[in-house]
Amino acid sequence: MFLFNRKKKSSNNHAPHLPEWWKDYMKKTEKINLNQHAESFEFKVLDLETTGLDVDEDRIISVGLIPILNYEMFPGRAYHTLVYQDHFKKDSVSIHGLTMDDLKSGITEESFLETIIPELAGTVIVGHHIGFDIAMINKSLNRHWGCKLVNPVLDTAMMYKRCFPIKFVYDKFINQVPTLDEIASEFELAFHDRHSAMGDAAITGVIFMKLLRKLKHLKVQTLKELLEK
Amino acid sequence: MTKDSNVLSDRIKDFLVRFPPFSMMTDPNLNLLLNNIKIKYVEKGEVVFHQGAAPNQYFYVIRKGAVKLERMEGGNNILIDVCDEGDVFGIRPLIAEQPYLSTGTAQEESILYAIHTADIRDIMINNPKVGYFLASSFAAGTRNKKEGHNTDGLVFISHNEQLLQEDRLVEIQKLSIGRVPIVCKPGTTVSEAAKIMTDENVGSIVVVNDNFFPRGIVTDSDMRRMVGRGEFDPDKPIQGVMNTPVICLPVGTSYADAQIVMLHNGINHIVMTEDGSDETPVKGVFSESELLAYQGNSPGIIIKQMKKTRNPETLKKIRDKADLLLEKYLYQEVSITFVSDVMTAINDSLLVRAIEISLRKIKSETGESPPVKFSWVAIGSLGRREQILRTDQDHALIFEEVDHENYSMVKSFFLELATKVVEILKICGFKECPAKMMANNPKWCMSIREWKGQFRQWIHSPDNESILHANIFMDYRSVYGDVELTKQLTGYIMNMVHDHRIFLTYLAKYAVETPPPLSFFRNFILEKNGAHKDQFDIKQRAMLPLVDAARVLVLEQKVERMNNTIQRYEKLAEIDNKNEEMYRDAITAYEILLRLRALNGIKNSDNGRYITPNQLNKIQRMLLRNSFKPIGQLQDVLNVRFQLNFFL
Repeated sequence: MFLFNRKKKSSNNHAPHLPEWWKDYMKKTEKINLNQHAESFEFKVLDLETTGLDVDEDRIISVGLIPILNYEMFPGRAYHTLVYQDHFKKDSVSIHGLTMDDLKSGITEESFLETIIPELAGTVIVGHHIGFDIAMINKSLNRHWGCKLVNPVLDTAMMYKRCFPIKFVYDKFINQVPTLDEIASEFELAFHDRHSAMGDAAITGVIFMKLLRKLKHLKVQTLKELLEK
Repeated sequence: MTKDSNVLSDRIKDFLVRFPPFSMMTDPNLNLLLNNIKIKYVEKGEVVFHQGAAPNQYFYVIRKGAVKLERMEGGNNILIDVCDEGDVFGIRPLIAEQPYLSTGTAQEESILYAIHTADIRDIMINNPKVGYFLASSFAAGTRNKKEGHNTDGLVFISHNEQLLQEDRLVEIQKLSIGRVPIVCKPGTTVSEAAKIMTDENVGSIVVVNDNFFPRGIVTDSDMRRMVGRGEFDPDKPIQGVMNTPVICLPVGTSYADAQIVMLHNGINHIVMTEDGSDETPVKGVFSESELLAYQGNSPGIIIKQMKKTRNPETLKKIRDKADLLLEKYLYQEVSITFVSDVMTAINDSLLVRAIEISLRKIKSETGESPPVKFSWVAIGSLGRREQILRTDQDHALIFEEVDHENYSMVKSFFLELATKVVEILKICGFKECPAKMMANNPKWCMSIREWKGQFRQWIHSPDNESILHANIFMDYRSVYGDVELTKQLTGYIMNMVHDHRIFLTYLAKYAVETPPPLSFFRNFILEKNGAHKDQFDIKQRAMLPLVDAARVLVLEQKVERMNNTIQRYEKLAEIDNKNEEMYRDAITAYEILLRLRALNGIKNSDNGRYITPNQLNKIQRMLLRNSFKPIGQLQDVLNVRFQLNFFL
């Protein structure tokens, strides 16, 4: 996640050779009004499955993206796909459960970008340790188009830390941020398939709704306030 | 979007299909719902909808958490329902297109599935099963006299098993409708009517008009009377000889009511009509002989039969019949105190009979009779007159003081007797107590002096083991033999208890050791670890804490010889007035627990102790959960009264 820094804008993002869907994405995303109330804004929870954790070497193989508006998730409007990759590591199968054969039904990385970017247009991307997912997408964008995402992002791990600062003083998380599994089990949310992009996105979504409500009670109301570090 | 499956939708579907009406839906039906479904987060206290508000486009299924429905009526907020996982609510106003009749508030943080009404309307049209289910659920709501009107919560029975159970209940009630009525028209001749009665082999014929309303009835005895008096005219229309007006009762009348009406009117047939008047169609006929057949399964007859039998196997068969009776009582919701009184009377008779058979056997084998007076005492739940199911045997024997030289002869006689009794009880389905708290154990077959010594030891030097024993043996009750012995023992114990408050403190400490579960409404708040981790130990976690608390509290109040837990709380409510409400709650709780355990035992043919929460319906789960509250309160009272916090 250290690779991602949303303040650093890539000048390539406005390069003339970029396709229409990207230009449209840029227009919508740069227009987000951060002063609006978080409750009336549609967020998107993102989760990727990848061949590994190395942003330079590994590849995206599956993605789940679910819209959330006003404490409601919309599974029917969720975006979900498998991505076909030549680069495939067998040892990661045990984590995401996807085999090379499964991925053959997936779309190419290029069409993945072409379909997910419009989905991300004008939204705030939510995820657990989302920096990694953004970096993975950026890497792939860079490979094909030389551009980068400009969405504001919200890390549920950071939201958790903001809601429960005390846990980071005395508790087990003193030197680390809790994993999705840890929070899910604390909130008793172990009811969807873990380690599938959609399953993880759904759990992240529920955690997000809960934390968003918690932050509302802490007087965090606008997107700007929510995005404060 | 690719074709491969969406894990999230699959999981939602997996969840929904466990509950009606989704369980009746086809895959395309479900996919339709899933397209527009929303996963909604609500925090504790958040209002999902307001009473009187126009319905929104969605209704809800609880995925996790609980939502209560309350209605304001004349300034009072009335709790209508608490819905939990899998329950559907907020659906009625959508289909009926009326405002919400209640306010739905998240009783705790919840996750709801919100389903679009337009989708369910489409499905109702295309899938008759779903349509019928929803329609009949509403209809059931209207008929339910208790509710008076529909509620927003459709109380869906969440599990197929409960649906079956409801059917069984109906079956039992149908018995009281009697047989299909045999009828004829008013113009039918007497000879034709007699022929129909003979062909159908029935004792009565109901004369009905074109609307099937009862206009008269003619019975076997009427025919006999006519013949006997020479008034028999075979060609006369039946309306000239019939008894009219017909005494009717509504469908669903209890056996007891039918019996009273028969006795009161000197009749032996009762016609059942839709509403109990003769202006609605005939539904059934119930005769005195059917009433007798029903009574064949009465407690009185069971006890009489037990007294006559000498064969342990027959004794078992008779006891089996008592379980049928019990089942009927439970499904007809007869008061549980009545049920436990009846079952205690039956279990006592069985025990007495087992003792008598054993005494007779010893006599015939060795010629010996009891050398001294003795008292066979029931301990534990039978001692408290609360043993509804055939649980473990718990008993002891007290014999008169004998001199040293005769002691071993006397003791071995009673041990031999007890051994035989235990065997018979085993045949009858009462398992041996695993801790061997039975009269065939030399430790619990003792002279009155030894028993006094035993209690003295428990009371004077209480420790964990002695408290465990004292708790079981304190609830003794003489079932057979000389009651003077138990009276003597009781006097002795009561005197001593009050001089040794430390003993009561120990009892109190023991009684607070098992705190009630915090909450129960999920399918999975259960015993930690252990063999039954997916089951709830209703005895250990809920019943014994109430039993133990009652015992120590009545002992403290110097109430003697009152063993029954409910009676103990009634007495306490009387004496300890300021806590009356708590004691009343404890009674309600204990009654609920007794009933749930009995139902569970009957259903699973076991001792009913371990409850699988998902076999309970929602109302039962709620009742069970509510029963935990008084346990906590009682334990608080014990903590304060005996200063247990300062007691090590």
